[in-house]
Amino acid sequence: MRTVAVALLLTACDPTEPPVASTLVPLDGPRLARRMSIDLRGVLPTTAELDEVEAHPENIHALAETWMADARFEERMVQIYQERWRTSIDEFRGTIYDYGLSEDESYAFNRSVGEEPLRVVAHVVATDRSFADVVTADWTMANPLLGSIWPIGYPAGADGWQLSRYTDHRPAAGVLAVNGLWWRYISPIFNENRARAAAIFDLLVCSDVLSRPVVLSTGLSISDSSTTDAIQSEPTCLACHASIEPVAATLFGFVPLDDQSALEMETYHPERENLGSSKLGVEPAWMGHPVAGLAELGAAIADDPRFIDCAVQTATEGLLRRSTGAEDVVLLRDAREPFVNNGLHLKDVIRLVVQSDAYTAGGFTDDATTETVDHEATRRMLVANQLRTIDADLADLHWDSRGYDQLDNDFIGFRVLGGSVDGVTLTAPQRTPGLTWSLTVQRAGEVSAGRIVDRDLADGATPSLLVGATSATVPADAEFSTAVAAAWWRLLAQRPSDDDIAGLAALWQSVVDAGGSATDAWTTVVAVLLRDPDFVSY
Amino acid sequence: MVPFPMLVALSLVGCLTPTSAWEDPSADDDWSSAVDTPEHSALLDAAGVAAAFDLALSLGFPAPQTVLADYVELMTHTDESCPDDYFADGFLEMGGCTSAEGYTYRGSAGLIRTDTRVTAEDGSWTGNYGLMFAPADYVIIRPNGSQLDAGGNASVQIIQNSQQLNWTTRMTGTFADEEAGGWLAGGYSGDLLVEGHSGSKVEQLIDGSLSVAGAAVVFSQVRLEPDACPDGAVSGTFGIRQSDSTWYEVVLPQGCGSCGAAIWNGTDDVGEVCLDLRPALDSIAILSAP
Repeated sequence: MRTVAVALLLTACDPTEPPVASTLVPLDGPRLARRMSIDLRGVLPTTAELDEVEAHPENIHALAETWMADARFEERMVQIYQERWRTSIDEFRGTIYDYGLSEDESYAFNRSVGEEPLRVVAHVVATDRSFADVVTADWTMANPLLGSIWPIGYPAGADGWQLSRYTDHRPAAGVLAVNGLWWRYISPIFNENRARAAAIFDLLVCSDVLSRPVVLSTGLSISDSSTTDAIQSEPTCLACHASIEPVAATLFGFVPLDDQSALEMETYHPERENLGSSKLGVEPAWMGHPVAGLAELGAAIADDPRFIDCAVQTATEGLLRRSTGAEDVVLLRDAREPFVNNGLHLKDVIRLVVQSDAYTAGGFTDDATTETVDHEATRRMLVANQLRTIDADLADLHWDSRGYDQLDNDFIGFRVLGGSVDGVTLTAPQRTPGLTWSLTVQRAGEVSAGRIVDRDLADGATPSLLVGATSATVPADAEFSTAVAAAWWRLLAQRPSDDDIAGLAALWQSVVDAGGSATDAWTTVVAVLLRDPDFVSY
Repeated sequence: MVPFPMLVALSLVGCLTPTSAWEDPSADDDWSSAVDTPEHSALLDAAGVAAAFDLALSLGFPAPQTVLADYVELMTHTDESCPDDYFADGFLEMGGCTSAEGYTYRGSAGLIRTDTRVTAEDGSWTGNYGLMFAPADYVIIRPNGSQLDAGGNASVQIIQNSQQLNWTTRMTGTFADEEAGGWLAGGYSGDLLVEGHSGSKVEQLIDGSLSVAGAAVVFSQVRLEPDACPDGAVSGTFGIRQSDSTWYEVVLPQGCGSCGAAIWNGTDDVGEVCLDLRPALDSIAILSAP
């Protein structure tokens, strides 16, 4: 089949044929830098960085290298993979009560559990490890909370997320052997790990077995015994189960015998590894190749070209903020090439994607087709988890309530309302503005604006955003225009026109005329910038 | 490699330039299959397999009596308000509470007791003795920080009449108490059913699996008759785990013995392995007593 496909390509594509001209118009340097900075480290570029790419657009890729070396890059990988792996959910079967934690620790507990597999991937990417480590590593990532409640050897005296190891003799299989993944993707006892196997296919080789078309025979009974027989003999069932069952058979070390017990769920059970064969009637295997347990499953997945394709696809889609399709085959192929040739470092994929036409696009030429316009994302929405890190950087805003980050939970917060993925009800980030997103953006902007103004206009302060302004500055002062222009540049990566500045001056004055203070007026000006379409998109 | 559907789609739009620079990560991929066969781990020799088996039982043969007694003792440190008495001989404390003696009780625990024993003047008894958790999803923390962790169930049922003593024990789930010593300190996980009787002859059947401190074994219909077979088993199959999570199977020949061929992963014969079954044989005395 592969031979046929390659032959087909060779006959269909003439390498001497000139490439089709792109109908995508790239962003200018500063706006592209803004997009890259948000994607790679979750914050806006500094004013100095914007100045640099404005003067020397060619330096943007050197900046991108710097940003990929930034500690915040690893955090961004966590967020990007959350959108695809969906493990940071708000509630797990194991709870704070199982561990004697307080209500105030509920958010931290759930995030710690859900982020564990994401942190493994992010650490592999950020530290230039081979991506195969994602399914073969003998380590996990843990924070002090996980180190205190699970059988994990967390480094003594350390803080934050650290490379750690489980102490319960589980196999070395990367994310396949971490609790966080299997607390998210649970398998009811009767399901015998099939749901977990489906998750492996979905997350690691981008094959969604649940979306495969199934036409069941009308004569098929659903009694227990006949269902089991059908799974092993009925062609319609075998279409999925022939590959699902052998993978499910490798996962029985994670099956709790008491699914209400956190102790059972947190502990790896080596003695149950062999139950798979008897429960499912098949031997462990990956795509027809026998494997002796979970560690070999990880190795087999790492050796599967679909794992490589999926890694490239996931990273590309995370950066393009859209799904990929036939239009992106060249990009995916080009991104794959350095990945497989240079040791499976995902940064090679990222490096190539952020230079691609699809990534840098900020608009279309007049002759762009409707299909292209529908497919490409030339303007991306900032969603809750991005606002969270941007506002933290700009305004030191940490929007907490009862220990919950309000832009990162849906129990009492606004994660989904703000367009992010909760992993259960919303499995892809919001692509177009909506009412709740608008309200979330507005409220976050208002709070951030107040904090920025209080900080910048405090007596003796050196303003970091409203450069040159003081609490006494009014629109008639030259410093007003300077401050507004600086804020505009930093927040939107655009130079404001005189009309833009005049408009904000009029807004400032209208607040004062209505009885507001200078602080109120400045807060209004900044809040408006923080709701500007060019701020809340990138 | 570009996924096949994408290749087809690409051929239709006609825009892919063939490349030859990149190599598949599985360098020896001959394209006859999508996946390379992973490398297997190094095999243990026969002595290594025997040692792995010994390791699983080196801290003693797990007996539910141990963890039940541990629990009963820890429940003597309660006070009037901590824990509650939601379950018989137990509690339901979701967030946990700490008694006046400094013992913390968290989770749900209870006991079902049956005791119709009648003791004769010579100390022997007849009747029915039973003790089982209902439920066992709890942690009890001592003032010194050590704790009994339980998730699952453990039960003992012993019935004795004038002719015969019958016992059934089962321990399902995970139990650990670092202060208890032996296998419970190492941490037990498993589902182990033991049935036995003594009268005209002593027999014990062990079925299930266990791991202690990460060393795991499977007992499949292991039949012990210490009078007829004092150092081995009459029959049975054992599974023994290697640290890389691959397994050896040892089938004892029918009759009496403790040696059998060890097969790794259903494929490789690593030779005859002789297992030390004394911990299993010694367990008869422990498991048959209340």
